[in-house]
Amino acid sequence: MLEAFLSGLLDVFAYPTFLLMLLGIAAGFVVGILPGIGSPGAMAIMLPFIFAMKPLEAFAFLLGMYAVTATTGDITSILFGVPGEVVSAATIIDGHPMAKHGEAGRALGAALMSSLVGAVIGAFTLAAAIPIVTPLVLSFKSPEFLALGLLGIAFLAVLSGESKLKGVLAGGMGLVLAMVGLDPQENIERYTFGLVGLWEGVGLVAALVGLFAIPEIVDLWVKGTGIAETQVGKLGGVWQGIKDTFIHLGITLRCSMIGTFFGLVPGVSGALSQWVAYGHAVQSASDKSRFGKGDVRGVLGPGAANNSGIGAAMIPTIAFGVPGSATTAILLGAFIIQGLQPGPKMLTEKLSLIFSMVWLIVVSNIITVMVCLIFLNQLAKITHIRGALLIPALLTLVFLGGYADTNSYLALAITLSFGVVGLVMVHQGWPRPPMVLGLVLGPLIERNLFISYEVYRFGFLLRPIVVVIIVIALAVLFLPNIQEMVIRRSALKEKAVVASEE
Amino acid sequence: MGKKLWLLAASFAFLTAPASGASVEDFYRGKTIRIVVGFAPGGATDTNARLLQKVLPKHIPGSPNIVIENKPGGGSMLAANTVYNTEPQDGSVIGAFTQDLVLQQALAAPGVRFDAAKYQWLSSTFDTAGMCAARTDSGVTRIEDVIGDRGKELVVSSFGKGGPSHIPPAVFNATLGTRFKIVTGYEGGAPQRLAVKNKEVQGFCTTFQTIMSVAADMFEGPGACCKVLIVAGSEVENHPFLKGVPAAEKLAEKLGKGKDDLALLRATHAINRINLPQAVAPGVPQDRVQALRRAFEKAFADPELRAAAEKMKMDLSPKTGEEVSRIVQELLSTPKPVLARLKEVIQ
Repeated sequence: MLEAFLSGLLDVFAYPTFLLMLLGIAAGFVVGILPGIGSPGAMAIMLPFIFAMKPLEAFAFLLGMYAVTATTGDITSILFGVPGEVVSAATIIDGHPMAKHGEAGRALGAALMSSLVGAVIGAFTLAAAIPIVTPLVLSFKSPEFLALGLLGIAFLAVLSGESKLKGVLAGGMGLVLAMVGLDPQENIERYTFGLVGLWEGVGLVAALVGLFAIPEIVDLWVKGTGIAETQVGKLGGVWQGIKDTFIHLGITLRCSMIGTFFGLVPGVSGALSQWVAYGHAVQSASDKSRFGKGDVRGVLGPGAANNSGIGAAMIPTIAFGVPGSATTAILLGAFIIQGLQPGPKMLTEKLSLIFSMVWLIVVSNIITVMVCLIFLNQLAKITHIRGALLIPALLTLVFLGGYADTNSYLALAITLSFGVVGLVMVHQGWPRPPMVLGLVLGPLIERNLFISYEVYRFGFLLRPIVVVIIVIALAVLFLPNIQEMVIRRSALKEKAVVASEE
Repeated sequence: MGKKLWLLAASFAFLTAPASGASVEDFYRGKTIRIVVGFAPGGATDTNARLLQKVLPKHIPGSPNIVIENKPGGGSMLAANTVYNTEPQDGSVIGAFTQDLVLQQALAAPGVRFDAAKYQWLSSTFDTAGMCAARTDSGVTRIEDVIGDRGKELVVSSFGKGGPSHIPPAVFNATLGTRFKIVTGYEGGAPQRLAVKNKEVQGFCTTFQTIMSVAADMFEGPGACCKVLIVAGSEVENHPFLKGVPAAEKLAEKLGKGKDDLALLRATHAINRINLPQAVAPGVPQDRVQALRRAFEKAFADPELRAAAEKMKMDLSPKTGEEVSRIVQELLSTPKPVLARLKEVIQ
């Protein structure tokens, strides 16, 4: 095992593997930073080049790109409030307000360092977990997926900030929007208005880009200034952000674990784990008042989770052939092109290759973070550029990204529609993250609820893992209220004591 | 001014002139062909198109560029509709979608806005067959174990009604009297198979080609969990996984099933014989269609493609455009009552 672990590392630095990884990193850098243009599209373009490569070379090329997109995607989220990747949407909630307050450097430093810690933790957890990973993955069946979906629902309120009711309603709207398309059991059209392009539902990329990017662009236009509204001291702060990662090491580590766990569960992607990580960061904090307004802990959580999941997500893809995201689906295609049939035997026969992939993710992230740190101060200066100069470039990217979701004008129309919805929500003080979470959770819950009942009837509610997850979900829902009640009651008691003493 | 207008008019005329007068080679030289793939990147249709993308240009007169455009939607129906109706009909756009759409048309399914009989088919990649398999620990070892009133009920996972994971068990239930209990709603082939691996269900149905390319681990080696019970068609390929496995049509005869049952089995099997097809729109000039058809034939025989396919453990069984067209025509002329019954069976 150890031998494979070390030889896996050495293989990464062999020629031409290392060079191909650098090429991949360069591509991932660009793709991650450009909003709307995501890693799936980039990987699809890179796919034909790997026919002539050896397996490790091919994965160096592809994983180099993929591993850094979650990191550089966070940069766009922070600077522009536009998710660079689907998995970096949660970084916006606190990262972008920080940029607006002139703390772009600090937010970027925190995002990068937590990404690096996340990637390393994720990779090593994965390496350590390989012997037990098969039974672990196989113990997750439809009822367990359903329970994870319900756990996500429990986080809706946490993501809602101050207006809980509006948040839960927005989450409900997200769930309703998730119903658009053919229903998964009977193929009956729901809210498709006769458009075949809507059969597979509302595209997450188009929705995200519309919901977050368009309101930001309009905001920028109306203000007529740069993104940063205030000049707080010097731009720097990058070092502060890096220190923050270690000051709040608990959050970074726990969110890395959350990301790793969600990555391991087949078919559940980073699109969900970032929100759970963010919710955890909020819930575990004693002072919650700064969340949503620029709390660095809100950047650290999702920053760590979206990177730690990348390594873990290789396991269901390699060992079970079940990809959790659009990108890992293409990676699965790459495996087959390379003549590697996914299956449990990959974990034993190709162990050295798998460890190399783990190392590729770690090394790519280290290189990216180092390169980013060099340019970070320059990047942060973007927030001081006049909006009028930024808007055309942003608009172009947003429309391109929206169109590229399914290569159709319908996707563009969806982007624009969500843009309008986003504008109204921002204007009326409705939180947007719950809606995104609803969109992500809808299909997961619906499919698995139906299958669970079909196969187990109501027996599915009694499965041990389901019970554990539901207890956690209930704790997430009610613990804050109970805490509050306890605090209030003790305060009342104190008052009563004080009154009786008087 | 007048001169400029004249120039403008001339260039306009040049740009819009009917291209059919030019030779095929002139037309394709310096052009870019788009292969519109009806699915997201990474799946079988996409990988197949990207494999062809590499070798096809050198076999088309004029050696055009080829790019892949993924246009997912409606289980590739969107791509089939678009290529047929709105894309240029000059041979610069090739559609790659699922063969199941032909069946959808035959069944008058909603959303179909093309006529598969008029589509000009260029090729298909595999000649395969639907099949069902069971977990070896399910107590079912032969198809006979699940047939009839005393047969055991076997829960199989499926994604999408009317697709390759649903038609075989539904049709076998209707014709052979098998007792497959179909749980549909899984998100795709991979989750469908995961449900078998983690014992949520006891079996699954798919095409034999799918098994070969992505699920051989379920039938051999340390992770082997399953055994094939039955294969559609009238004969069974010579392959270790299929030793002693009956062909559905033969079994139907043995069980004394009627002509209607056989017709239904045949109609649903025909569709898998043209797995992963490519086509161009009805308006594309004949000479270009012929050139493309021959190019696909040469591409499938190309050593570079063969080597790549071998690496992917793909056992290619391509059909020419003419063969695909013939099978499509046959399928579309399936007698109405048979189609009506099929519609009932898969609902």
